[in-house]
Amino acid sequence: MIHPALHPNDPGDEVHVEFRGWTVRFAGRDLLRWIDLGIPKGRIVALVGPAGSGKSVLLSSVNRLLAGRPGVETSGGVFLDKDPLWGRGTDDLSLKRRTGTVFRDAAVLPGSVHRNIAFPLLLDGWKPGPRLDDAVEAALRSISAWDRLRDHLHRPAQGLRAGMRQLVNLARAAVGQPEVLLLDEPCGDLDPRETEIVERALLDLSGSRTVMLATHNLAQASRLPHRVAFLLDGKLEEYGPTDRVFQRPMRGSTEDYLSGRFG
Amino acid sequence: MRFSARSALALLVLFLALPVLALLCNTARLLVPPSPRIVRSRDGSRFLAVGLPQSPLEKAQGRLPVLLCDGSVRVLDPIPASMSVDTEAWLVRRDDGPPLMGRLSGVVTEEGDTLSGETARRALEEMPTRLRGDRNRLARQPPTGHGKAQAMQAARRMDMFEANDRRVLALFSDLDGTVRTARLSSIREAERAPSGLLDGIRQTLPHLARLLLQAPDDWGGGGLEPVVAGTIVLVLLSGLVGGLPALLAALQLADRTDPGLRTRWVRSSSEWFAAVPGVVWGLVGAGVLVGGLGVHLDRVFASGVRWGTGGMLWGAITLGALSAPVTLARAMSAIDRVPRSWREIARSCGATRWQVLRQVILPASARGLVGAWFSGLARAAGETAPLFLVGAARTMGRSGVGPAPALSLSGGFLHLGVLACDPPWPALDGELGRPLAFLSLSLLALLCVGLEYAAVRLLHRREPETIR
Repeated sequence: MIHPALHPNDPGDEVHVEFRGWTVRFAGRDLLRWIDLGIPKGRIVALVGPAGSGKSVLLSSVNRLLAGRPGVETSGGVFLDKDPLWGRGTDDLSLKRRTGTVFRDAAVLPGSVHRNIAFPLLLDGWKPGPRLDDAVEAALRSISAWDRLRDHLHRPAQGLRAGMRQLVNLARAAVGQPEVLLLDEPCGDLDPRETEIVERALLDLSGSRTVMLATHNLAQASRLPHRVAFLLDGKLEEYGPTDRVFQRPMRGSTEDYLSGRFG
Repeated sequence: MRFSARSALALLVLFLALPVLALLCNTARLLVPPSPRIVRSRDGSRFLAVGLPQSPLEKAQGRLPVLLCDGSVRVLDPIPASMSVDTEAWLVRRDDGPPLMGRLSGVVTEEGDTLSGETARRALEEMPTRLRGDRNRLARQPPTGHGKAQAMQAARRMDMFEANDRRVLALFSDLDGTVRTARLSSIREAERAPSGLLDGIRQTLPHLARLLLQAPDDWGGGGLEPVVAGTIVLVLLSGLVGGLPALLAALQLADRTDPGLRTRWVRSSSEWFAAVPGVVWGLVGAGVLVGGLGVHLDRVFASGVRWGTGGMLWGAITLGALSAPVTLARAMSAIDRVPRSWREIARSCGATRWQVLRQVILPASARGLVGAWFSGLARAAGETAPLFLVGAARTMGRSGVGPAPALSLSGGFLHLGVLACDPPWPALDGELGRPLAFLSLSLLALLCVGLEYAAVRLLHRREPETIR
């Protein structure tokens, strides 16, 4: 039984990504323990918590990267718009293409900026041509980075600065028009100025999309999202509107973490 | 100056290449007919004879066949102590008479001019080929049905050529003043004794190519071609039957995000197997392939092909099995160097296993995979011991030993290493056998070092620096 105060979605919110009793075990250890969480549609939700608290595992439960790892056991369920993501008969590929992911380390694929951004479409069998170019441009415009990157489109993406590379990754995540964006500390390796650029791009992009943002950066967690979920040792400690969680945390552990007493 | 691995390798190759080149030149002199030298007695009074190429047997016995001035051949036994080589002397082989020798005193042209010195020498080297070509063109009869008139015209032209040709002569003088003439167009070969080191090298180089590119004939000509070809074909075949499957296996194991038990097991076992000595593989090949599979094939298909006696195919499979672990281990580490984040990006975009392989892993590791393939080839090229057990041939077409085997999957094959360890010729001529063995080994070493060098260059590429 979960305390209703821990699930304070607004009455009008439609749940988009839902975890029900979601448990992940690996090598005899619980990475996630009985997570019950509903991510509302069209909102930005930050996942905060110390390293190893299960933020990344939660994200890779949604994009199913976890499924490729041998030795991972799961129980419970994850649902994307009521479609089960895990379980028998789920279609790995079509589910993966409903999400877009950006990782922390600002790594990009070898090849040009254009190829990086178009990569998901190329996988779907798109051929190079004006249609593909338009899609790339639209993706870049949706994060307001067209002016910054238009001159670099056909240069190697690996030659860009980390902030620019993360913009490329954001555009790549957005190009397939995914329903959910999963961002695993996208600004973890960036300096404050680059962080600001990426955050602005992120806000431009989110619009009506659902965003799950794992972050260590408490300032970022307090200014970007609508909701904050605090994870500790694989358990969901607290979940609520950003202002409420930061100003009046209900759990002692949340207060300790947010006020910098540990973590 | 920075001392990089690259310059170290270049130095190593240079150090290896120089002695090999020297050895090649030396051996070429031994193998091919030495340039004929007009020898004269040491007091310089008169020509004695032209030294003819010695067969290895004659060389071993210290006998020298010579061509006398009247065209007859005599074997000098023992070789007279008082002989020297006249470097201005020529030996000329011609179509219309016995060989001629002497100092070139001049060349008479069609216009009746007499060339001498350097121009005469050049005329003697160049004109015969041209004149013979002209004659051949004229001698070709016009096609039938062209009428009598054309035939007569052709005959007239030929007569004119002949009349002109009779006037074009080379003059050779003996030491005692006798002058002999030869029609330039009848000269098949004109050879001069080398007048110094450079001249000697210039004359030897064409023989060098012959040594490597031609099959041996009974005496004097050709050389290591079947051995070089056998080695290269064997190594390439082993790369096909051993290296390619190893590369495919490495790719098959490539897309695991976390190395599972199977991948770890394959990796460590491939490293152990790479340490198994070649002769053990040879025994396995002889037992399983030749003695088992080959004999069985012979029993089932009673065709003319003999599989149960060892041959190229079994040798290639043995070398393939021996080199596959090396290829596999190096290919796996080449694939490991593809950053994991690239695979994760591709997988998060919904790439299938095949797409991750094709779009990310293969392009990023292609260079390393080729390097891994080359290092497998280098290992296969360097192994000789197992080949003794799976059908390496030991004959090479030199007199009394038998013909060189042709390249075929079921037949015996020649290999540089085998021939160097167990040469068929030392019984005949130790002096010839030793340099040939060294030559074979040097070529083998060059092949292995070359392959390994290529492998290392491909495997250890320095990433281009980027400024971020």
